[in-house]
Amino acid sequence: MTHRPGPNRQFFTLALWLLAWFSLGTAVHAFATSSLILGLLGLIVSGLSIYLATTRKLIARIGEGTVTGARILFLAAIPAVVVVYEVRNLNFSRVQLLGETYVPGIILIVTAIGSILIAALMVIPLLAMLRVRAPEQKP
Amino acid sequence: MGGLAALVAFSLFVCSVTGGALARAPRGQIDFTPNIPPLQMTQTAQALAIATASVATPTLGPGQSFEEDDPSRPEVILLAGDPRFGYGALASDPDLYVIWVTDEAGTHYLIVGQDSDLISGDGTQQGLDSLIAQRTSLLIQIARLVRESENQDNTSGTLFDMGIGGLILAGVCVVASMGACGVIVGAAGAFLVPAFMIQGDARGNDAQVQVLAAQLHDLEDLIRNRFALGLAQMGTP
Repeated sequence: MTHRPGPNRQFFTLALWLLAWFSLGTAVHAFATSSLILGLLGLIVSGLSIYLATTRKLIARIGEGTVTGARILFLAAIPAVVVVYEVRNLNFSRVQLLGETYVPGIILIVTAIGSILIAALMVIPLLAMLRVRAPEQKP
Repeated sequence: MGGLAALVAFSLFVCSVTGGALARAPRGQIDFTPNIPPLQMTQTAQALAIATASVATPTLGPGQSFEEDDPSRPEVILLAGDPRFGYGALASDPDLYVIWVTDEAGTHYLIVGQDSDLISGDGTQQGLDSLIAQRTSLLIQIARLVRESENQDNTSGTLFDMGIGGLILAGVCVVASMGACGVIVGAAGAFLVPAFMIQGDARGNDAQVQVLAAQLHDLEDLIRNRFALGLAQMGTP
């Protein structure tokens, strides 16, 4: 029987997958617009994120202790910022340009949809953290 | 935390490299022209066509029209526009011009005199020379804005990537109560703020492209109407 990770680890695993997906989207967009260096940078960041998400190098070190409400609020800012950013990229008129399929526009939209979905999934461990949250520390 | 330290170090490295990389990044490739065979002749073909003009096509004259797939369509030397909308001199008789427009059915060609009102205008209506020049100018503006928007999206995306990486790192810091998390949040903010600003510029350019594309659409309709009018006035079959 495998040990199911707690909400803290679930949250950061999803966060790393979110970073990996977004970086991959950035890389593909950069390659599609002939920006080789930025494409390679995106691929490296994506690869590093996948490595950290799939190995115990980082996730295993994240404690499963309870987190205060204020800190959970801070963590919630991560998917929130991503959603705000990606909603601005969800411009479906960019699928075509002057009557022709516009590949960089499609890449941006696909990246945005994927990022929003992963960010939405991050709400589940956040709610789990909130249910067992630690009391706020007094100054 | 070794992996995190590596992520931070890498992020900082990327930040320093990105500025230079952006300046050197090649421009995006945009090609608005569909695969229509070019009308411009090679020099050899032109020479041959001109040399044999008097015997090859003696019957060509103003008012004649051709379709894209017509095998008897004469060779043309492009003077203005592109393979979709433009005009040029007849290779076999440079005193005659050919104008062409493209619609859903394909490209249509019409032979006119060199001094035709259809090309130069008649005082009340703009000629195709000015309309085609406007269209070329719009296409250039759109291509420039699209390239700019692509570069801005690349920059913004890379900065946002780094910013979110920093925020995740700050999140780990916050959960682990390691202290000094504010520094990491500040560093992430330094990436996120310009990422959002540049993204805003890119979306602004997209809006401009939409406006110009609508203008281009209207202009192409106007060119088609002028062509149809010319075709009707010249009484071609």
